[in-house]
Amino acid sequence: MVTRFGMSDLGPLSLESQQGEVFLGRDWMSRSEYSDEIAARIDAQVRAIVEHCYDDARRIIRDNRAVIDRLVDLLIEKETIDGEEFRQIVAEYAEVPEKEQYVPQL
Amino acid sequence: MKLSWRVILLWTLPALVIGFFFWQGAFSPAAADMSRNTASTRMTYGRFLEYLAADRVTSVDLYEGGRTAIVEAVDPELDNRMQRLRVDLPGNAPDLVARLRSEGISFDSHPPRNDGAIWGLLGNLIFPVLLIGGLFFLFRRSSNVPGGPGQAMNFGKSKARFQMEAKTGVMFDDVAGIEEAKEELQEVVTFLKKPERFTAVGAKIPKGVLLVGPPGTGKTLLAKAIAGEAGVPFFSISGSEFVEMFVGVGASRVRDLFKKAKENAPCIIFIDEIDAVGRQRGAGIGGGNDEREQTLNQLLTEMDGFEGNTGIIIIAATNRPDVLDSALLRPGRFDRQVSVDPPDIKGRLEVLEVHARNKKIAQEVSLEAIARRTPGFTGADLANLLNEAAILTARRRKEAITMLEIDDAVDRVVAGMEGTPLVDSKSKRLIAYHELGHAIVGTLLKAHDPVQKVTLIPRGQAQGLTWFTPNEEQGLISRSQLMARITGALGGRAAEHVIFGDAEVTTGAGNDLQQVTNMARQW
Repeated sequence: MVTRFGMSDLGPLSLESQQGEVFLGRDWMSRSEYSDEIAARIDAQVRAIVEHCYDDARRIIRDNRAVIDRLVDLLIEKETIDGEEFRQIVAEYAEVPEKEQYVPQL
Repeated sequence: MKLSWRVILLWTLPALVIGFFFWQGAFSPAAADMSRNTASTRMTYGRFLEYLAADRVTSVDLYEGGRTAIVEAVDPELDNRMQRLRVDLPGNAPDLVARLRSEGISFDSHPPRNDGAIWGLLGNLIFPVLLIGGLFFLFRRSSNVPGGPGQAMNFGKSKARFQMEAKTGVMFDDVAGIEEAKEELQEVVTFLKKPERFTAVGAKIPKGVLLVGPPGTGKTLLAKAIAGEAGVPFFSISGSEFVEMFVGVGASRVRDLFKKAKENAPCIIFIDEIDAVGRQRGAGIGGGNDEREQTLNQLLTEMDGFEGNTGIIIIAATNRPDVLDSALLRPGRFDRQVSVDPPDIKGRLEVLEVHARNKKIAQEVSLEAIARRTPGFTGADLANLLNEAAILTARRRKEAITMLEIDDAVDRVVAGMEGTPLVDSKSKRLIAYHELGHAIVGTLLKAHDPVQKVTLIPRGQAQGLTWFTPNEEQGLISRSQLMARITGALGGRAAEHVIFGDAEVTTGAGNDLQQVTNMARQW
């Protein structure tokens, strides 16, 4: 998100090209085209994104503690819960947002 | 077949040698017994005359035209015992016979036995003749077999398999789900079959078609279909077959391949995995690989160089077009780059229909439902999926493949083999919370893919799994979707943290965290 797609407050910059040296395998050497200062800001941005998401995740878990406890008992008993059933149970406790799923037509 | 011939020959030689020695050992004494041309002691001629005078000789057998004789004589000193003595006679003693007659001694003349000598000569000759003949035969045979000792002469020859009328058993009907690529190649076939339609408007036949696409999307299958349909001679070779032990072999093979192709024009050459020789020149540590670059240079000049080639269409397949040399990709060499992408839902349905043709599938199975469930699957994945389902059906001793087997096969193809379920324990509860963390976060975030299934049955490396229904449109991903995915991936660790506390978080989230970091930084 940060280095290749400009999805942070660093601005719309591509800071790492995916293409590395052909012979060394592409992931091995991703060339850096930025200064140390930018590198530090990249790290800070990555950290900020992950921390924001982690806080979100923990908030969701805390808010839905009751349904999780119920689902854990069910999962341990049944080993597998189907998506539909899962959504029904969650819907009893919280509002499940409608997902925009593109359904292709044949 | 050829190999077994050589093996037989190799084992026959030692057997013959042993047999020969036995034969010699067994026959020589037997031959001697028959002729009886032996005697234990020798006697001088003078002695013989003395014996004759003393009337001790009873019989004389003349051998070798009268030059030797076996004399039987009695020895009064030794109790009148019979003795066999060998005497060398002087060449011309005609009076001896007269004397023997007058003495009344029985005598006999034996003709020289020449056949024995002939057999001896043949016996001595047979072994070297067999040996030389065997070796000669061996060398002649092995020179035709690749990899044999006679191969040194054939290093520069191209190893392309050549088929006049290729029988690959694959037609364009068997290729499904990659319509665009199929059309491009069908056009090439049309060009070979009805060139006047194109030449009438001044169009030239494309010289090369490069098939590009991720692994398993059917590039080689397309080439096979072309070979089956085109009705022209077809050469197929793999890029890695050019370069071998010796320097210069690669370029030499390219020359040989194109020489053969020109003799058979119009024809099609198919080079599989061309990235093995077509790599960007001068790349890598120390400036690249000379031999491979030489091979590539030869390929470049043969495809479009000073000496033109007409009527040869080169089809190449690769899944790494980014590493190919730019000179190889220019128009005039590979005019067309046909990208073979993973099929969309319609394509997947067609692929499934092709693979379902020869399988027993229960009535209620809907191939459309399978196609819907498998976004991102390539043709090879789908073939594997149906094959796994068929294997499961056979294992369960059912008549036909049902939806149950297909579901299991999808899980198996995506996530690996099913393990044994965990026993109820603290760690099982922890894994359950972890997976439900993923699932609940994924469900409650609007931008996240919906949950398909949560399971505690271990598969492959994972102890438990949460499956999300992937979106059919995988092209562009928005920022909110990325954030939702990061949040969802962190849901497992968050659940451990919230429920069990900071001290009880586990290593189970290691993989998740790696994904999260990667997504946040690059992706």
